[in-house]
Amino acid sequence: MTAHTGHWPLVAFTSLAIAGAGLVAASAGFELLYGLFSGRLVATGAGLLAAGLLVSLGHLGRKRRAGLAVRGAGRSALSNEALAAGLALAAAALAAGLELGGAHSRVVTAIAGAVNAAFLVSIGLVYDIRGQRTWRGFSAATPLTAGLAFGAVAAQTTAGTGDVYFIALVFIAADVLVFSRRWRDVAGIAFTGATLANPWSIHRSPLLGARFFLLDIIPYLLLAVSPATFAIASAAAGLIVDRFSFYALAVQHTTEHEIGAVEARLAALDRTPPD
Amino acid sequence: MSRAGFLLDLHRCVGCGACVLACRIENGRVDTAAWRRVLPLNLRRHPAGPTYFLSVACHHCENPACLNGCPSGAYEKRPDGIVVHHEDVCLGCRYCEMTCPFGAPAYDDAKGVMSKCHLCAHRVDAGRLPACVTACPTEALRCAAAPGPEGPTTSAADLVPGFADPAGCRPGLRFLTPAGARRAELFRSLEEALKR
Repeated sequence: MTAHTGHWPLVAFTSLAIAGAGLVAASAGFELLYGLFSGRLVATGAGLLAAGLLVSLGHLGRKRRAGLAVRGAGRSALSNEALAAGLALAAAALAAGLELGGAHSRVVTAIAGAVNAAFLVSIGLVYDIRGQRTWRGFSAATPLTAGLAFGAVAAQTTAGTGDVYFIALVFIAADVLVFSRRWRDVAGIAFTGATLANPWSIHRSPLLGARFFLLDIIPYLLLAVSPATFAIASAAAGLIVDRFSFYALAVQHTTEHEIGAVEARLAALDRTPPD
Repeated sequence: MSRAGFLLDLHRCVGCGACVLACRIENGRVDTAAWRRVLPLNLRRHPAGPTYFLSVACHHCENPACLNGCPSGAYEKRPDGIVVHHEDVCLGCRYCEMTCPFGAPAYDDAKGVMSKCHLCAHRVDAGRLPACVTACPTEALRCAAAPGPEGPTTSAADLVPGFADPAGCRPGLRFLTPAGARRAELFRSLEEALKR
């Protein structure tokens, strides 16, 4: 991804889709555990998801062929994601529609939550690519944990009860655990010619730190004191920074990158002071 | 049936780029991204490392990441092992660009689809060699049967320095290498030199 600049539509798509699916999945959790359900929140989630899918068309070279994206279902992680996205949107729209139409169904809500959580997992699996060094390990789990953390912050803030719900703290804590492992993995990648050529690699710690504080720490502190709308804004900003850093820090381990690693070692020999 | 693949003799490749030019002309890719490229290693000729040129394109892998990841089924592996890309069903999503550990698929801005080396399948079908192989003046680049499914797996330890980790793809490219140009040997000697 460092070799081309086509990642902005992906940042927008995944930010919107993760936020939307996270809202639906977390709302289902609040409903099942506490009986708190907001049809408006689920409708917002479905809207974000639909907007994300529209944006995702923007990065296709041949947009009219988008329907072919599910041909590889079962084989291709990207096809699985496309299929899961369609199901997640349909389930969320149905759950929101029933609620807003006065025919609320806990079963439909639970199914919508599960399908949207599965969609978040499928997003992570798309980027579980061995050749991409910054996408290995715990990166595959971050769409799920980030989405649930964002959804929980929004669900708790809009619940309006003034209480702090255990599930919200669990979702945020899970994201803290998973993301801290990803941060450690990315920070452990040695600087070489190829990584230094990417200006964002040099600033990776502030970038990852901003994501960590905006999506997890600040909302956590705000929720612990008193649910505030600012917590949603902070979590949303954190989610956008998460997706931006995900693509901006990508380092594809191609032949060019390997050659850069060898050249860097040879250059280091030149810098070794003589005895 | 033996699997098609390339053999690159690093003793012989002088980095002239004739293979790149021949590929561009044969496949009409004059103004678009090249399918084949020649990558020099140790151009400064540091005495601690070997100097050579890697002429690389699609390696027509046994287990191609591009084919496995493609959502629309635009990739096909022929019985002879050549991995071909069908532009007419390509979405232009560029996922293969991410999944290929060798960066082989190239995006065609004008058409909005991906494309890649097809080992000059039209020439192979007519009993001829690929254009890049024909053009190589030193016969460094050749066509050779790649190891089959039962053959030895190309391990990272056996790779020449500069060649990407195949990530389980089992590439159909093999090397003839100069002494000291094995990845493990070179990196060990460089680490020792750095310690001194």
